[in-house]
Amino acid sequence: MTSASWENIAGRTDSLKAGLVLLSDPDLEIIASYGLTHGTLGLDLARPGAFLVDPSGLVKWRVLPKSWRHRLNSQEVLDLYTAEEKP
Amino acid sequence: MKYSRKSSTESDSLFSLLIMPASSTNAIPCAPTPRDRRLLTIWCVATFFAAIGILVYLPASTQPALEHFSEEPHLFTGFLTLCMVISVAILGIGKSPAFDAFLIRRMRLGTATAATFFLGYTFYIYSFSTLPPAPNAPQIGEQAPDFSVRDPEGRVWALSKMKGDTLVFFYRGHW
Repeated sequence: MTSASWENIAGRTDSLKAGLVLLSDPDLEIIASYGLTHGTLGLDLARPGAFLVDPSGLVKWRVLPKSWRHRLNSQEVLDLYTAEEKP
Repeated sequence: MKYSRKSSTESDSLFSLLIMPASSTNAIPCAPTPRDRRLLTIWCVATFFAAIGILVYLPASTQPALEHFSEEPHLFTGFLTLCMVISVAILGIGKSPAFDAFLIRRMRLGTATAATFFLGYTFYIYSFSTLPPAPNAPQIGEQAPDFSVRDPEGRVWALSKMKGDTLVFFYRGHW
């Protein structure tokens, strides 16, 4: 989910070589519904964040970095996911 | 008089100040000792690192291989703080009679420049890029807000229609 427009994110998923779906939310409606709008220098963006949602729609875990410089990387996601699945 | 004295404007020009130690007018009070040379070298190195900290940090911390650098800047901050303390300490208490007025002025300028860059670094890392709490974000165990987005190909992506666990990731660009 990103506040960038569809035109801007076209081809971005391929360039990141990630098997993920990148969705655009230019009006920040979804970002706002998750309480993640943030402005730096007047730009309205989503603060970085990740939520694992189970099939019933409940949040299993979430990661909300305290600094916008911190982006969750794939290894951290995998570690959290396997830690969740083990017990 | 056969040789006219240099006019004062000529010897005090900016150019001569930059390239020429003031020793031509102020004689060095005493010769520098090896300790003085060591102190001056340490001052130069410490001031240099304290000043270039932010210029190294910003591009380096965006490299994917150095992500940890961006998440845990405390070690780097500690190093820069040490450099800054050394720079100020040598200027404040490490002065020797061999350091002439010209050198002291340049050292003050160097330490002040380093302090400006160092304060810029600490402000950027610990204040500017720090996010406020997100009280409205869904808590663990709460219902995640559903969404339905239609992409340009007409496919609809709805959270409630996803099978299995879904990672909703708010992406802010890869920088």
